[in-house]
Amino acid sequence: MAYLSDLFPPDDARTEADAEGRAWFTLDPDVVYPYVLARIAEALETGVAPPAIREQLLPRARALPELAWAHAETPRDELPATISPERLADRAAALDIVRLWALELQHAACGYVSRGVHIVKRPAWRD
Amino acid sequence: MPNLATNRAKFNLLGHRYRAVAAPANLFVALGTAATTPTADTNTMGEITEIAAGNGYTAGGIQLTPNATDFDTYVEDDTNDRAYVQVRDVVWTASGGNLPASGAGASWAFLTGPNATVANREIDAAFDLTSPRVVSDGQTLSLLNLEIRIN
Repeated sequence: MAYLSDLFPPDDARTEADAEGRAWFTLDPDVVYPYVLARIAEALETGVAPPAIREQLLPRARALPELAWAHAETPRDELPATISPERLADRAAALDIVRLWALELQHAACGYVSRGVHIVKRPAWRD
Repeated sequence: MPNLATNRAKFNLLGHRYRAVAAPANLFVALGTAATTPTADTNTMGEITEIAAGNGYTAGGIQLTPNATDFDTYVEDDTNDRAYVQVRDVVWTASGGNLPASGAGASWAFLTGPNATVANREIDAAFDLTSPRVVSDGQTLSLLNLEIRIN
């Protein structure tokens, strides 16, 4: 990946259709979430992250059990059939942090302009 | 931060879309104490306890305009079948003493509609600040990327 913005290609059709003239970008979880999960693992180890992420998201990430991150990387339909509702809730919380982390990275990559983001359908990443 | 959209907010959204109910000219982000835990059934600011006014906090909170500047992130999530909108960063600076000026710290933030009487403002969403927040003179209380989620 040459640039962070490469992770979030423009969505020209949605941009053209936007009544407010807002630019739209695509977020493909298959592409972005593994990248973000790697950044989260680094941040959990080093404490280093962009300021807004460090303040808002890193404490939430630290509060989750390690297993939540392993489950977050596991496709929804490959989770053990015996997984408890509590573990599923932890996985959902982890994936929510991944999504918010990705959105913050995308916001920085586009210069913090007002924009739309389309997260495409990837059932493996469903919470 | 963890959030909940109230049923009143969902009701109002349907009204704007399908019954041409005029959208509000302004919205507000207000702060509340832990005295009352909001639920999806919470309707107005009169049902919760706002933090004390003064030292940089005005009763009713900070005014927003419903536009692309103040609501700067729109998300359509086809993976989880949801939609989100995020609020621009909202910041209070304590001036002349602690913020809140007295009483309990801020444990909740609320996105509300407009009404001349703060207690009558409808609550669209509540955001859990996790722990009571008090900032001292000159420090800031910042809320970044408050997010309203519609399932």
